[in-house]
Amino acid sequence: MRERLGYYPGCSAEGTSKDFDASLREVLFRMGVSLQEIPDWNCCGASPGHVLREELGAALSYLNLLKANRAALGEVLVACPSCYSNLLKARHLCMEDPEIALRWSELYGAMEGDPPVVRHLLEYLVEQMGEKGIKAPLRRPLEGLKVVPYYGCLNRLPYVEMDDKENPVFMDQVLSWLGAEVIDWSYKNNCCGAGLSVPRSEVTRELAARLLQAARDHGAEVISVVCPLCQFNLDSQQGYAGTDIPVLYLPQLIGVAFSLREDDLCLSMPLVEPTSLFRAKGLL
Amino acid sequence: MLRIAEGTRVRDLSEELKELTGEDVSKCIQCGKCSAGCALSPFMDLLPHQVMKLVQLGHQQRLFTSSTPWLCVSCEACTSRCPESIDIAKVMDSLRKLCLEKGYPPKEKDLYAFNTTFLDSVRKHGRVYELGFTMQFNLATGKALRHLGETLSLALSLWRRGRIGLVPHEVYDKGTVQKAFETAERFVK
Repeated sequence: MRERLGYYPGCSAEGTSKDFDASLREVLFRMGVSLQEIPDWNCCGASPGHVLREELGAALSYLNLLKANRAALGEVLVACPSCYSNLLKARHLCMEDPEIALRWSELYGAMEGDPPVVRHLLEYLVEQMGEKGIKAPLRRPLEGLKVVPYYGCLNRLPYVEMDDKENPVFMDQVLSWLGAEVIDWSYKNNCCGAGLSVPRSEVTRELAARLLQAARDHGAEVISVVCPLCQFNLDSQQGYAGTDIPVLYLPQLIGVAFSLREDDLCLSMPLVEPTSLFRAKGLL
Repeated sequence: MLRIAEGTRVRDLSEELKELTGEDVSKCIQCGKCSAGCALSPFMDLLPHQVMKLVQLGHQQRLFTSSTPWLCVSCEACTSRCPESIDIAKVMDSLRKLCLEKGYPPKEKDLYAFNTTFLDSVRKHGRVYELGFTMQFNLATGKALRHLGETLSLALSLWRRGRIGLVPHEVYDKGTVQKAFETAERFVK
């Protein structure tokens, strides 16, 4: 029997990070998990949801938890770190703050029982799948592929309590199970500039360039990420940084190691093209 | 503590923030760890620990005309490292809100416009329509015109790779989303 798991894709999954969403669905399917999207999910509020009005992002996220709850989804998987933090915040307030919980249940409807458990992809891969689950569908280990894991601010975001805040290792762990040569570097969670890429692109450019040049100096052939903003900022600033390193979502790398079709993993979507590297390494 | 007359105490900014958000800035010991680890500090006109000091001193004018709270992207490096466990990112968030509440024009107009056009898109569609809101932002601020070549070339590359969603995805139940916009409070303790 396939395991049924709730899933919150987040808005960028319908635009700039379609490849994150598509590859994640593919690889989890191979690992025996059926994802069920929260019916009629809405935006989590992202950063603007708390920047201008603290309650807005949390309330929008409560709506998503409520929709999951009504669809009898006890557990919800999230890929985007910002969505993850917002959903965790809504869950926390709804469990720990009776005043807000009451207000929300009157305004939007009451939760039946506890709100769904919210899990991030990385946590799910390491703690639920584990080495056995990830190695079972492995067809083509990423031997000889030098990868730097880049976590961004994921582990430090509000209400996130997984892995280590200063030196996270979950992605390192998954990559090493895939057979990749994981490069340790001290830039794992330096900020990429996040949402400043549109309103203050010159700031993102400087921050991304510093990360990209450090990745290059450490001999990285691929940068592995689990966040749509990290991917976009690092992928789009390589001209300025003078680098040429594919920035891939972790599920895309898992998919390559599972020998899935390159179209299913959307390997044509990153701006810095990764397929020639994979072919040269005999991985495609 | 500011005193204007014997027995009359003006509520200072630290206290106001504590009441609104639960964060106690008066605990800051000026160790500077927040500023040392802040990725955005080279672009700020006040360093994070200077912001904390100015909150303690109640220098509202200086704080609410600063770019710093607007540039903070809430990466939480400061918050997770503060030895006094002050949620500095939340303080920055709160200063932005107080700045608006007290009627100061946001120092970083483009960042303010980015946040509002983003939320307008969520309010309208229920989800963020990336293409629509970035276009609206660019039109409103003239940002794309100032960097026309660069913007077009990035848009074209994304388009070629299928990374631009052309149509907005509308949420069916927009009523509750809009209700959240109508009722959400500016501060949560």
